[in-house]
Amino acid sequence: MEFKGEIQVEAPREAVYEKIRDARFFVSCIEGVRDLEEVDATHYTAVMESKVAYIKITFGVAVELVREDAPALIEAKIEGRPLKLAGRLSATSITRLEEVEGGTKIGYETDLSLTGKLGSLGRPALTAKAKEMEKQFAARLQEAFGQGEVGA
Amino acid sequence: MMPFEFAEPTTLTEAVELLDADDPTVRPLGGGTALMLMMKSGLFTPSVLVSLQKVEDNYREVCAGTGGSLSAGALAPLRALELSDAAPAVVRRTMKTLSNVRVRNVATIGGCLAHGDPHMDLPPVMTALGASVTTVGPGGTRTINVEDLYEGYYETVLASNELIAILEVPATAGVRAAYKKVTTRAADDWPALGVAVALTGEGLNVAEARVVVSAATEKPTRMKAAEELLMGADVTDDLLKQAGDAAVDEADLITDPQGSAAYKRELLRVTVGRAVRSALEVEAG
Repeated sequence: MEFKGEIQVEAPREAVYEKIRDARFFVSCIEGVRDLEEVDATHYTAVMESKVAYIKITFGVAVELVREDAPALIEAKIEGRPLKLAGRLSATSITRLEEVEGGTKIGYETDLSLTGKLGSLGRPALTAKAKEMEKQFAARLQEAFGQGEVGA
Repeated sequence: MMPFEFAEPTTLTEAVELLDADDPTVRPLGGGTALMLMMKSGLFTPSVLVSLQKVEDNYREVCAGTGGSLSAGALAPLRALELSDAAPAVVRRTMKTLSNVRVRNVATIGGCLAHGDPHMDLPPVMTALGASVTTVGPGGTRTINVEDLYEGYYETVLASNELIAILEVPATAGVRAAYKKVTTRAADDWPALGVAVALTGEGLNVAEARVVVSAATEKPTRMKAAEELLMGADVTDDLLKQAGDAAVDEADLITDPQGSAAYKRELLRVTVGRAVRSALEVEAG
C-alpha cells in the first residue's frame, strides 16, 4: 500500500524541518499513537492503536530514522507487531521539504506492507483506516503550521 | 484467547438490553461463522458475546409476504433462503455459491447483513432487489434499506445495541436479476468481485436497472452511472462495454488478498456486462 500527498504551509523550511524532526510533534499528528519512547537519537518505540468499527488492533512499533538530509528530507523505517494477532507491519516513510513562495511544501510518501493474519484479515480494514489517518495527519500538520494547501 | 462472558437471552428485546451502545466489545453472536474466525485469529477480542440462538423461533422463519414479497427472520440460516420457494430465484442461486453448505447451515441472514464485510454475497443482491431490514434497539424498531446499511469496511449504520430482526424483500414479479462473482483462489473462497444486477423491461430493453458492486469496494455500492446508461436503452455489446467502463470510473476499488485494485478494475469492466447478460437470460421473479 502506498500513500502519498503534499501539503503547503506558511513557514520557512528550516523551521518546518525542526518541527517534523521532533518525534513528539510528529507522532502528535498521527491518530492513535501513544507511549512514545526515545531509545537514542534515531530510534524510537511507541504503541499505535487502530480502530475500525468494533475491531481494535494494537501494535508495538519501532521507528528508525535511516536518512536525514536537513532541511530537505527525512526517511524513516517502521516495524510493527500487533499485540494479539500474528503478523507484521513494515513501512518506509519519506518526508520531503521544498521551499516555495510564501512557505514550504511538505511531500510525504509511505509504503506500507502487512503480513500474516494481519495482512489477510486486517489489511482491507486497515487500508480504509489508513486513508482516514492520512487525511487527519495532513490536517494536523496544516493546523500546526497555519493554513495552506493540501493535495494527494 | 482472552476469557469473555457468554449470554444466552431468550428474547430479542432481552438481547438488545444486554448489548452496550458504548462498548463495541460486547457483540451479538448469530451463527458465529465470521465472528469466530476473527476471534480465533486475534482480530477481535470480545468482553461479552450475546448469543441469539435461544431467542424467539419466529426470527428463524422464512416465508412469503403479501403480494409476492419475502419476509425472513434474521436468525434464519442462509440455507433456509436457499431452500425457500418464497425466495427470489436470484437469491436461491446466489446461496448455492456462497461458501459451502456447512457454513450456510449455520450462518444467519442477520449476521450476514450486519457483519459489514464487503465480500459477503447477500448484501449486494439484497441492495439490487431493493430489500430492507427492520431493526430492534432500545428506542424501538426502525426500517433501513439494505442499500443504506453500510458506511464502510465492517461499518454499518447499526448502533452497537441494535439488532436486525427481519429482512423484507419486495415482490420481484417482472424483475430479472443475476449475481456474478469472481473468486480468484477457490470456488468457495471470498470473492474478488461481486456484481448484482436487477432489471425490469421487456426483451433486450431495460426500463429500470440496479447495478451493485461488492467485494472490490469498501461497501456494496450502486453504480449509478452504469444504471443511467442502461435505463431506457436496448442492450447491445457496445452499451454493456460503456456500462462496464462507467462502473470502473465510478467505483472506488480496494486491494485485498483476493486481488489488486488494478486487477479488480479489469474484472469489473467485463463483469458488469456479463451480469446484465445473465439477468436478461433468466426468467423474471
